[in-house]
Order: sequence, then structure tokens, then C-alpha cells
Amino acid sequence: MSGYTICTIVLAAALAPALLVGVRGDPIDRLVGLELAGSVASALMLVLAQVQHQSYYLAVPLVLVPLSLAGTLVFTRLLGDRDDES
Amino acid sequence: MTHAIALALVTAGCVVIAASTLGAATVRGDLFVRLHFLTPVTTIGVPLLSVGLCVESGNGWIIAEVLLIMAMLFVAGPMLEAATARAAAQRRGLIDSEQPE
Repeated sequence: MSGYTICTIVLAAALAPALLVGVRGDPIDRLVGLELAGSVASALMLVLAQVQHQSYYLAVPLVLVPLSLAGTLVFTRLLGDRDDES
Repeated sequence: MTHAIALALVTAGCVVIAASTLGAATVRGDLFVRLHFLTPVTTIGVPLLSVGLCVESGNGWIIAEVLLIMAMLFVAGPMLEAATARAAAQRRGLIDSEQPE
């Protein structure tokens, strides 16, 4: 098992705490988990492209990062209203 | 030698990312404490990992693509953290709901 494969397993395991944060607490707390999961998934795909020697895997984080940014900004706009207004 | 340097950089990046996510899941405190674990993933972990992958690859197109992804994440991470903190503060009534002009 190469070092990069171990790094891939570590990053895949790091998705679990991010998903755990994403299912606990208030909606705004869960948003932190979503942001973490997006960043970790992008890093995972970067390393996976190296492990598999498939450079076209890099298209996934290239699309995921801007979509994750836009999606999370929409969530922050929607969740930013006061509790007593919603 | 190049392979060893690249693997060390990628491993360091993975350790930072794993430690940050573990910290975010286990820290005791409210949202504003947990938010501090978000930025090291994109500003320390991913750049270390990306530089390691660039050293390993040596292919110009792959290096450009990896550096572009790294740059986008480097900018997006703190931006999302600030936006989330602002949304949380608005939600709790700590600041005005009006958007800054």
C-alpha cells in the first residue's frame, strides 16, 4: 500500500467527522459540516487523481469548489434571517 | 528524493485536514468556536497537499489545474467562514439583518 493510498484513506475517514458535524445541531451549525465536507471532498479528489493516475479526476474538484462556494453563500443568505422573523 | 518530499507534503496536508475535521466534531463550544476549524483545511491543509502533488506530478497542465483548485479553495474558505459567522450573528440578533452597503 503506497503512501498516497494511505493519505486517501485518511482523507476519506476525515469525511466522517465533517458529516457528523453536518447532522447535529441547528441549521447554521450543520452548515459548518457542509462546508467542511466540501473542502475535504475536494482534497480527497485531488489525492485520488494522483493515486489512480487519472488526471481527468481533477475536473471534479474544479467544478465542486465554485459550486460549493455558491451553494453555501445561498444557504448563509437564507439562514441569516432572525429566528423571530422565520 | 522528489517523491519523498512530495509524499511528506501531502501527508502533512492530510494530517492538518484530518485534525481540523476531528477538532470541529469534538470541540466543546458554540458555532463561533467550531468555525475556527474550518479555515485551516483550506489555507494550510489543501496548499500543503497541492504543492506536494505538483512536486510529484511534474506535468504542466496538472500543476496548473491543481494550483487553480488550491487558489479557489484558499479564497473560498475564509470567505465562507466569514459569511457563516455573519449569518449566525444575524440569526442570534447580535447584528443587524441589513446587508452592508
